[in-house]
Amino acid sequence: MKERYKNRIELLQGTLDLLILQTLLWGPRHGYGISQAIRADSREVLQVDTGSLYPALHRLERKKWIAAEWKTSENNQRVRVYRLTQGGRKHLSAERSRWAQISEAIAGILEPGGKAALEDS
Amino acid sequence: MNLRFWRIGRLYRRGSELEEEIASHLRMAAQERVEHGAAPEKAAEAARRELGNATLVRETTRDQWGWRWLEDLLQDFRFAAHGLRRSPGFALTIVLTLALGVGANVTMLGVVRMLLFHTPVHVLHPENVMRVNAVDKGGNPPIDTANYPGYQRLAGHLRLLNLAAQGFPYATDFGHGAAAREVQRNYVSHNYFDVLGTKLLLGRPFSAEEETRTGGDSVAILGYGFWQQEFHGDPRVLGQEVSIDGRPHAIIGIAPQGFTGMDPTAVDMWLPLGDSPILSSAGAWWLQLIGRPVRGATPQQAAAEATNVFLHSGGTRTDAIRLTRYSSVRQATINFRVEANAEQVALWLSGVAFLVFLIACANVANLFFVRAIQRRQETAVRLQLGATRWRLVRQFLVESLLASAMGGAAALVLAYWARPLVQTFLLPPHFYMGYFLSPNTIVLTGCFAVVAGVASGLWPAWRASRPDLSVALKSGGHALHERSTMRSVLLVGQVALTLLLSIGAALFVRSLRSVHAIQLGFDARHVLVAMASTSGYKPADIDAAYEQMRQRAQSLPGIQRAAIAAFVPFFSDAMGSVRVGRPGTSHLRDANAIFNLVSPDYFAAMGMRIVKGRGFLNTDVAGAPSVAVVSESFAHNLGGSESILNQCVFNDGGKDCVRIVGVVPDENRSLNPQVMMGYDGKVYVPLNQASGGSGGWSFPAGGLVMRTKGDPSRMEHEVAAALAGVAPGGRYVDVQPIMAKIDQQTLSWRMGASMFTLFGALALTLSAIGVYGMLAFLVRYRTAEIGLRLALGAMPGDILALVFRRGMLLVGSGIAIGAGAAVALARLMKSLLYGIAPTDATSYAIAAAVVVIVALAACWIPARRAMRVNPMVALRHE
Repeated sequence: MKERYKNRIELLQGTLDLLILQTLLWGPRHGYGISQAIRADSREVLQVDTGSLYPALHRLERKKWIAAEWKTSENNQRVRVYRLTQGGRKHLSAERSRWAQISEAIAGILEPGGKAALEDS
Repeated sequence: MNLRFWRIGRLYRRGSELEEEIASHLRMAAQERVEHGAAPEKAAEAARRELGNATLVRETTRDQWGWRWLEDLLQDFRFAAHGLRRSPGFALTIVLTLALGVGANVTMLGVVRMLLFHTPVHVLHPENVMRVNAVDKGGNPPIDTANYPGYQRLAGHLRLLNLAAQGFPYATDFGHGAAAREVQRNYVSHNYFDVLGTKLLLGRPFSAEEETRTGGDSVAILGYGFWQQEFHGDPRVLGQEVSIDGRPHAIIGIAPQGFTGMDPTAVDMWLPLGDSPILSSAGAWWLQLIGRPVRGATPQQAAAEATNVFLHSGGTRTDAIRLTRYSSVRQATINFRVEANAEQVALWLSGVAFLVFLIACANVANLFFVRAIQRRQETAVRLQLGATRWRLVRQFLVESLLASAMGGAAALVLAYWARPLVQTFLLPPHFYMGYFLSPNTIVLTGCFAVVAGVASGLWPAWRASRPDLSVALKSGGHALHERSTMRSVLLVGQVALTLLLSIGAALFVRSLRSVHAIQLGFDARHVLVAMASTSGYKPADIDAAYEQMRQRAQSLPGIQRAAIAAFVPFFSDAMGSVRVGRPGTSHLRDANAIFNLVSPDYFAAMGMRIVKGRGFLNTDVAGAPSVAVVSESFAHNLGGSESILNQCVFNDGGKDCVRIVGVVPDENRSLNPQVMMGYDGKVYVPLNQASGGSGGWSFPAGGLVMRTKGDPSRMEHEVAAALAGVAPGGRYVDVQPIMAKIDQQTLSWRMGASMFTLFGALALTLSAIGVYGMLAFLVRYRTAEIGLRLALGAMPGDILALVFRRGMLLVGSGIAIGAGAAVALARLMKSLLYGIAPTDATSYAIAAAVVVIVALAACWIPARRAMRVNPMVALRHE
């Protein structure tokens, strides 16, 4: 139980949007559901701060990448459910390729090849 | 506007949704913890902790929608409204001050608009209605009239232009015999109301057949005002027969209230063109043409078509037809029978109203400043907590705008209440002012309110939000009077403007007094004037008819004396050149004279004494030696050192000596000094002799003057009824006190005196509040210092002097500046004053004295409070 709250990693700026959009790709979810999904999918490594989650959701909604509506959840609660819009889908694929480039670039720097170059000099 | 409300509505909805969303998040987080085995209370607590600062989360989220500013603004408004509610005295003072300032301006601008600009009412899209003029290639001025045959030829063939015609408003008789009265009528074409887009209030417009019907019974459409006045607005007059110009007319319609066509001249009734005796005359150019291009046609196209039609229909006098717009600026003030001064005075008064507005703004600014000082702790705390300066300035501004918005609303109410005053004092009689509170007025009020709010709130807001000031203030108010330079400047300016207005008021009041004190040369208070309609009569018949009327009037118990004159002062006069000299000499002096021909009792009836020699006698008739009476100024200008008596007056070209037998006082015939300029004086000759050809003067009788025993205005109807029976042709007789005519000429001074006084009093009140506020503030914040001084042995008198010195220094500077400005400005007002110089020392002294007395009174209360400061209490407080 306590383990769950260890090893948190602060998310890189901008990546939260990407994670939210990615999470919603598999279907509509409410805010709490999104934070739980991100945590679970990252094997408890990524912890979404609620203070960032809701501003991010509303920001994405304003940009019309996601849409929200009120629904009743499985245990009879009124919840605000977000889903991905067509625009959001497009934005997600653009962001994903950008992310791939970034991680490739970072990986390139961190790779042994890079270290060798360093030793050479 | 809608959009705005909708957004605010959405904002609120979104706020509550967010609340609910976060609540549901907390519930789910807690539930999950419970499912994992945590105790319910602990689970909720943990969920809340995990969420962190809920308010922060909410605010950050809300920021995402970019509506934070709107929300802040709403909050500012709520805060401001709360603040104003909490200090109702402060709020009421500000709202009333601004209401007076704004209301005065809105009212005056409304008056100026009504006096100078004319917007036709009940005319559909008046901007599309044009004058139709004929021009020739020679570059002569356009011809603005047409004959009826020409109009008909043109109207019958136009497809792009709806053409109507009207004559010029003119006086005619309404009713029979003694009951007949003079009314204004105008001839119009049958489609006149249709082309103007005017819907009659009752009845129907003229038919095409009625337009061309000559002879027999005719029809008439009455103006709203005349209908109200004559028939008390009874709708049953439709179909009733009345006599107009001696012919029976059936009333077929009533025009809507205020309708005067495209011109501002009031019309009592409209008659079809066919009523005019000159309808089919080709030589009579008596019609004005009015055109409205049909939908989709430009004025140019319509004019081109009209030109084409006209040239092909045998038009001779013209090369082209041109359409010109009706000017919105009033051109002829004569229509309103007001001296042109009235408009100038109205313009001045709007300037004055603006000064009152400035004074009001200065006062409100001072009040806001005091309020800002009172709030300095709060401001300092907010600054320390990181509020931006802009946020604070905005907070203050929102408050001043809110107050000025309420002031504006109150101003509208004031302006509405002021309508009867405006009607009485500022507008010509019977002026239609139904549209005084128009949407324009309301927009204007809004603009004034916003200007007032920003002007009075910005500076205090800026000063109050200055961080260093706030810090300085925290340690107490001692340094404050050093820092109130701006307030002093405002106050000095206020006093200066107030003095300016007071001087203006004094100048106008004294002008009015000199107008009333004018030596009219006759006793106007007991003179009644009667004039009969005599058109179409021969001079000898007119004289005979007036003589009959004179005898009838003389027999009335309320009339002391009745006399006949060719010209009645303030109604009409005649001028010419004469030569004057001793009998038998060839040395004659030229003179410009104003003539009158009068019956023997004239001087007695007008209440004029005989200064020298004699008046006219019943023996001064045709055949007897010719005699004349002259005025004092004539005697002075032409008699020189010798006596004017027994000298001869020769009419221009006349050979016979008319012997001067008497001298009477100068009789004014107008209050306008310029009318008297260039004339040496007045020459009277007996009516009986003149009509016999004596000296070549010949004018028929023009009026009956009657000296009444009591108030002449109460005898009007009795005399009119008595005279009607003997009037020429049994026509109506117009009877009125001569004072009524004189009062028309004093309108501008009455208006100036009453309004300047009103605005001056307003300014004085506002300035007194300003001075009082300033000093009360000073005393409050120097209480400790005053206490110390008293403790150290200062006498109460010293403290009194301290406060008064400060107050009087400000007031003195204001008076000096105001007097200087008054000297510069009053010169421009010279033509509006009467019998008084724009630098009249008495007026300045009176105005300054009034301002000083009011200022002293305003100083007195704070000074007394200062004197009564208890040293112990004051110091302990410190």
